[in-house]
Amino acid sequence: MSELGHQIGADYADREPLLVAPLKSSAVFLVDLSRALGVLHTLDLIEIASYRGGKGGGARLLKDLDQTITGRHVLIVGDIVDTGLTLHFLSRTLGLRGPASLSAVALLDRPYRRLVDDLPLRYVGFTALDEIFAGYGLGLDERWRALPDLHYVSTGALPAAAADAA
Amino acid sequence: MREAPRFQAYRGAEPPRFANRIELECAKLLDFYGVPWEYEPRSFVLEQDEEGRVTSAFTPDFYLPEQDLYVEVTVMKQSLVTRKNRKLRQLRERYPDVKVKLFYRRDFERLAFRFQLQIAS
Repeated sequence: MSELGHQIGADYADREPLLVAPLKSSAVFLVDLSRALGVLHTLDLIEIASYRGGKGGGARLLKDLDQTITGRHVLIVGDIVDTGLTLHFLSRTLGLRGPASLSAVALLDRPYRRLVDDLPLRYVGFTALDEIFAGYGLGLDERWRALPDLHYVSTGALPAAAADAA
Repeated sequence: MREAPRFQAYRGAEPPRFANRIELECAKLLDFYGVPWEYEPRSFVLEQDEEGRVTSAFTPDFYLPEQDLYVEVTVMKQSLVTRKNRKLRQLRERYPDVKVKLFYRRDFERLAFRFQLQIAS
């Protein structure tokens, strides 16, 4: 975390970035990154409606930003990027508001699962194996978010339906 | 496929006729996130006989025009996709400028777990 914070802090020196994290799974990462950043910055949160089998229209914001981002240097703080669809939606949505710059950092990246490539992903904590994770803010059916560290979840620990998918 | 959703990000002229449930779920997922997509818009010739007749071709399931990317989804398990992988390799050799990605059943099973999709055929 300190390495990532140092790298981002150096790139954003004198720019006071706005860190934007989608709820909920990025919350812990956002807090730790904020403390490791070393430059003045502000924080904001956003929430995107989850995909549920195509019911209920397209992606939309359940909670919008509290701050305007026109002319700001925005850094999206995400937990995992795999297909890139969520980050693509978020960067496109925020990009329309005229930020001075728009980049993203992900705690975990699975580039081999990418469906869309034109992403502003500039910083990555770790390239992740094709495993299921929980803890450190990441939940499975809302469980295990509060575990302090990131854990692999073995398929034996999952409910039967989820284990079939793993 | 019996289910016929109204797609917003579909860029094709004719209504898509999906071959299986996973293709439909892929289309719905792209559509949800507003990623423009087309369904089987182009076939690539892979092999021809001496008289120029096409003996092998490959038609990727999706084309994402903003990404300039073709996506092939497969319902086969990863261990059984050797033939499809070979076609993909041929396509990349013959059309080096074409970007194509194979999305395996496992990829969609993971998405199904994450998004609670119904992927049973």
